[in-house]
Amino acid sequence: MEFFAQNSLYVVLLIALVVWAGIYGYLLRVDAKVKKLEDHLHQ
Amino acid sequence: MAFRVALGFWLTLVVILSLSLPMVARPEHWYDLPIVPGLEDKARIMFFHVPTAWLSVLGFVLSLVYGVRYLRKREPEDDLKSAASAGIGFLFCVLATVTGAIWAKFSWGTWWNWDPRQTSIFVLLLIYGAYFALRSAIEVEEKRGTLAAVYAVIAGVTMPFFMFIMPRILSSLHPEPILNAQGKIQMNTAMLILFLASLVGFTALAYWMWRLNVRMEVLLHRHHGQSGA
Amino acid sequence: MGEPEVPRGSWLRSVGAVFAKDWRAELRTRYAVSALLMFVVTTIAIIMFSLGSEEAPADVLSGMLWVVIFFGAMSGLARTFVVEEERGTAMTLQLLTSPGAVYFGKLLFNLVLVFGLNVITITLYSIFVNGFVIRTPSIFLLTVLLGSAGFAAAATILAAIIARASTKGTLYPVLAFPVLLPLLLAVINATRLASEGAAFSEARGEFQLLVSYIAVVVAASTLVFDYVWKD
Repeated sequence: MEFFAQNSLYVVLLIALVVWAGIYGYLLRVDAKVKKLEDHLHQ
Repeated sequence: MAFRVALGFWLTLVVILSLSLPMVARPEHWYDLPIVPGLEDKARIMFFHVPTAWLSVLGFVLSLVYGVRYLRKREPEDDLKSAASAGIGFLFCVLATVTGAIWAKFSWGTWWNWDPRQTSIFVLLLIYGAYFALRSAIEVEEKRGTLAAVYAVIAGVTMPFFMFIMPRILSSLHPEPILNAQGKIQMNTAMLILFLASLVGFTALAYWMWRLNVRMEVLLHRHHGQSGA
Repeated sequence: MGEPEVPRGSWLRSVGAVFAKDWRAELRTRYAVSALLMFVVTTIAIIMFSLGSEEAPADVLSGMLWVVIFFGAMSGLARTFVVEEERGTAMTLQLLTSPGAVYFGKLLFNLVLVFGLNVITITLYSIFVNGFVIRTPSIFLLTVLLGSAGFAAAATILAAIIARASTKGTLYPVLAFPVLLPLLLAVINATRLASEGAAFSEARGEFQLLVSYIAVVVAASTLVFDYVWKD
């Protein structure tokens, strides 16, 4: 528990990076899918 | 492609730096950040809160601009862009309200206290909500775009009153320190650069999200004669 | 406003005609008036009931007065344009008058309606709600005048917007509240000043805000009304 009190800022940083990675990855996936649809429908 | 890669690196760097650069009372190194008395590390939320607030306002302004363009030219794509801007703006408005409440809790002890800043972001939230409620109540596409744009204009025209109500309430006996926290935080170069970098990064992120939204709606519109907006 | 140049006199007469039409229709059916009256009476009764013999502080009472007025105005004005659709007179109006005339005619009518509603509400409120007292009548009078005008201005254009939507009634307060909020804050503040007995000059800021609000909303409405009105 003391580890968290001392390093809480780094815990926040870790969480923030994980969240950001998740969002970024999701957006990349959506981007790819939209691109696929656009190519498919513009034939 | 390059944009997405650059954005990924940029925002990752912003996140890491804003949460790890040391905050010291007397900044010595070029990378030291000044301490905000009373807030210390918690002031870091500013790097995230202010960009979201900025994007909430930008989202609405763009929605208004595209809305007006739609009124004049009746291009369906303008309406799609207007709705997309509102969507992104709304998302960031929610984030801004929440991060703002967290900031308020740190600064003044309560999550919410109806000070002008908090009230104005709340009103913006209501305007977004009203905008989407209006859109969902109209089925005819052209009517929907027209009336949504009109509402954006009417609501947009009253927004400046919140910018001016603030200074008036300031002159009353209200004790809360309001306005831009930058007013009381002295930012040194490092902090300023990081802050601006965050602003740019989040704006780029919002742009990416907006483009995706628009592209999706265009596809839906063109091929199914309908759109989710 | 996008229509061919109409001689001044006949435009004013159109405005007057729209106003007179609404006035006469209202006299005949008394729809809006009765809804408003019932609403005001019921709400004040509820307030009285919940207050009991307690006396609430001045700013709370000022705020409550305008809450009553806000919802009263919402219930009474929501149907301003809906009635045209329902009675089938919308198309006739479009053919016979310019959009500007319709807007200003309706605006005028709503002004009278709101002002009348406010007079009644305030009278009832002052009589029945404990502790509501106005120490600077001049502030209060101007507040009510400007507040009514502001309400009417915002309410009219919003009523035009929702007339074309499908859920109409329930949507109206949702759209209206954020737009009216600056107005509400100003009038509530001014009323509080009036009930505390402040000097007239202290309320000047609120009055400036009210006047500019009215000007801005009416200006924006005239620019935008054409798009709402034309099918």
